[in-house]
Amino acid sequence: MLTFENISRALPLLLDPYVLLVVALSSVYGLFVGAMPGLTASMATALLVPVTFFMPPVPALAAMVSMEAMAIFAGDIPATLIHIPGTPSSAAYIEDSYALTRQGKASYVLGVQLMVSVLGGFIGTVILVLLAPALAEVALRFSTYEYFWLACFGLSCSVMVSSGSTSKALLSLLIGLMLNCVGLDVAMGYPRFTFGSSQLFDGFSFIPVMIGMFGAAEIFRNVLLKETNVAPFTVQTDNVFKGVSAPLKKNWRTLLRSGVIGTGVGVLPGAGADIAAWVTYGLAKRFSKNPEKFGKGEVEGLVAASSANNAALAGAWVPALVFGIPGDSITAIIIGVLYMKNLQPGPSIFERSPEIILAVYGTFILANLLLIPFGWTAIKLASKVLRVPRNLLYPVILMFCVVGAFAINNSLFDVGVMLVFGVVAYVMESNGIPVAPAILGLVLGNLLEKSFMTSMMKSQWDITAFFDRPISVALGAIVVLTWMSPLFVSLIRRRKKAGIDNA
Amino acid sequence: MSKRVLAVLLVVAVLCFGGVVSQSEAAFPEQPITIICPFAAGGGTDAVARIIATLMQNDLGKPVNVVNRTGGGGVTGHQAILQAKPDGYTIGLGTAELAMFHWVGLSDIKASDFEPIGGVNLDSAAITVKAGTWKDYASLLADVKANKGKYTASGTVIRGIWHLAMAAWLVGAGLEPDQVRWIPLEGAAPAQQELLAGGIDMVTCSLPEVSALVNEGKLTMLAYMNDSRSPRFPDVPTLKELGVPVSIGTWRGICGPRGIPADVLSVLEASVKKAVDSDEFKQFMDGRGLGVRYLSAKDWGAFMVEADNQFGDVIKAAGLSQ
Amino acid sequence: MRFNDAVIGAAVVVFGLAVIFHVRTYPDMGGRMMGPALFPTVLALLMIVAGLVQIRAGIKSKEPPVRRLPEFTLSGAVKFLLAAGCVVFYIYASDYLGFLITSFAVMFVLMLALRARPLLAVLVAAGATVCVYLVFNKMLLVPLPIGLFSF
Repeated sequence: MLTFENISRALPLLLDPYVLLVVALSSVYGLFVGAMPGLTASMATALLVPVTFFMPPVPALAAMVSMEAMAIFAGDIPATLIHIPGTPSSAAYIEDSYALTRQGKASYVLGVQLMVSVLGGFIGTVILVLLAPALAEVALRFSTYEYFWLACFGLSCSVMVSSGSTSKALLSLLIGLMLNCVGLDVAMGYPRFTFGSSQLFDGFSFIPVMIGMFGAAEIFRNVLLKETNVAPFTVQTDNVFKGVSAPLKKNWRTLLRSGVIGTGVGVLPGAGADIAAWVTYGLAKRFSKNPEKFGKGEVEGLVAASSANNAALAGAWVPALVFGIPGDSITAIIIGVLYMKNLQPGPSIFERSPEIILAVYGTFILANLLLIPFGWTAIKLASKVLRVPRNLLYPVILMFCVVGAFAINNSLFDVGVMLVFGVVAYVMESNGIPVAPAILGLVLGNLLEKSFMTSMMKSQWDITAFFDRPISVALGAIVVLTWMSPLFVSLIRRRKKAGIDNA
Repeated sequence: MSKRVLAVLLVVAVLCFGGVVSQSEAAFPEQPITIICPFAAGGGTDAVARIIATLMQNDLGKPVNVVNRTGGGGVTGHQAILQAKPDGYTIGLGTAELAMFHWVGLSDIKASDFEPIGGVNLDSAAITVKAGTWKDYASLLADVKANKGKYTASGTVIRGIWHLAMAAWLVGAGLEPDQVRWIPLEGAAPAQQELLAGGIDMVTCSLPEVSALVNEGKLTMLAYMNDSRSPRFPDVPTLKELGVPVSIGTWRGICGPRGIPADVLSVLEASVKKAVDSDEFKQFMDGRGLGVRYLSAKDWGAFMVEADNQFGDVIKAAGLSQ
Repeated sequence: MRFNDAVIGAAVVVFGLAVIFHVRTYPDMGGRMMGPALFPTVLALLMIVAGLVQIRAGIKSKEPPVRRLPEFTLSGAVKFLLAAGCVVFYIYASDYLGFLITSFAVMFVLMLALRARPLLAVLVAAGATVCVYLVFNKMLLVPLPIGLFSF
């Protein structure tokens, strides 16, 4: 695959001016779509399909690669500046990035997110290039039993991702999981909590809920203040990249670990960039020396999750290329494009068309390199938003919330959902109940119930089935250990403390 | 204060300007057409809607936009097609689900509610197993017959089209519809993943959906639920040849609300036919692994009603209605 | 508005009980195995436990049942209701009035409520409306309601 001959055939395909132009244009498009709340990267990819229909395979695939890389980073921009995640993948660390913005460090934090996104993208690409066939074989051993443990592991991050009272974080998680029960149930297709409304058969759409809980709630919080502060936020005018290298150097272990884990989560069909961000954020907090700062503007969590979601993108290509099974909703569309261009996915794709696959890998690298200047420009332009007086800014943001909630299903019902959850989140937060665990519950609840119920249907309610398979046992053991570890830690601390007291 | 008055005046002026633009009589279409897609952007139905829209736009010379109205497992979008103003400017891509909703109690929508404009696609189900498990249909059937409730199958959610295909096959073979247990998964991709991971024993989703892994030799296709063999897999026998007269699959086509004027309908029908007959469409569908099958408005209307009855029989026989 | 933890806990317990009461009617999966009701029931039970924990914490804290947050004022509450009302207005009016008019009206009213200068508010509201419309409707093909007037 990685022979000199193949590379020399791939390079001209990649460096064709037409391909470069396509990459540049779709990058701008991706940045734009990612930064708009309510418009997801998968939606943008779907809109590209009719356009790519008339292109040769390399530019068609290059367009999608560069678009998704840009879109996932761009989701961080509104999350950081106005507390609305541009894509669901930015939700995990929104509290940290927004807290830093309020301290006047908007362009610093965006600069860090940009650089770790680029590095995360590189890690994912390297793993994709070197290990795709082997990883795909592992991913295909994942049955519902393994996914159940994965969901459990993700949920155990919930207490880690929140700051403040543990019991309230658990309550918030339960609220999120309960919201997931709305709609047709997985086992029997029975409409739960829909109260006769067919709008709710598929449950609450995630994006309007997320926009409401983050964006609308933030506006409500601010207009409620005695006199809305009309002065703009303070924005530091330094260079975007100033001071960025220090947190990278300090957190390189976190970065590397999150990149690898993010890619791994991306490889698994059914778990994508959003779950990768939550899991790595939770892990970063667990391994951090100052976990109490997470959620209040800690750069470490942000480094972890922001690199992981970009790494996951490349990971998702692994099962798509090797078996034609999509790793996420974007690669589901890309598989269609592969077929359309007569590139049947399968292990033999690497022998059949090595130059095209290598050229696609090349676009991953190219797109991540381009992310630096393009992202820099986007940060520069977008940061100007913060210079707008807030009494003009908030009404405009509210309208963005409305349009963003509408755009995902083109339904006014979702605008109502956005409003209701905005109010709910406001009430929750003003009573000390964090919102982040509820969002995590929404992200993982579906996977949790689906994998549990289908596992039970397969095994006919034999619980031991969760411990019958090697990967399943290993994952189960990790989950149980994670849950038990706070007990051990507190036991050890108590011992130590007791020892000191005695001395 | 005067500034506020100014603002109000501005709004009024804008309103009047909007009102002045009057509608004159001209040939259809004189404004953009919307195709409602009842499933999310990025899926197979969305892809078909988008390519049809692109080709119709080239033909009609006005923008044809795809609007995804997702939700309710397709109910929301189909409802939106029925509730559209019957002027031909809002039509939709109907899918096989529209003939199932009322049988399973999700909605009152039924096939005869729609104004057919043209059928565009048909994909039949196939019985596929992991390579190295069963080598032919006869051995699978013998095992299934002898072990009620032992084997599992999937391909979509509960009461989805491929669930019905499995039930139709079992009933047609003289077995109980729950002789094989249905494991609900969200589509063909997770079902094949489960099949390879050893979580289930067979999938009954459409032939093109499994063709990649069949070609790679990871899966084996045992039977095709169509009246004639697929040109892609000429060695795979049809269920009919195997003594089970069952032909079932998913389909899509352009339809609208009842009451669209006849002259508008004929323009739309001709445009859909032209799009489906084009080489671009055939190439696109072939690439996505979807089957092209054009039916005129009249034939498609009859086909939908027939399919509606077939689904009803299967759902009742399998005890899947609520 | 900040409630005593006991009040929140009580509300959660009542909610949990209501869920359990509601899901009793859901069908089972045969063989007495719970189907659609299983997850809601388990979650509701956990919620009741979490609620009881909150009640205990609330009683211990000896805070009053409802406390006004220090930053809470009447004019703030009015602005809050106005913002929420604007979204409700958009939901019900946009199909008839169209996106351009509704969006302009919503932003303009909110800006005035936040004490922006009227002329500036008109300009920004109109400009933002047109920008959002161009980006979402024209470029990204989101079918924003047309209503009375659009371009």
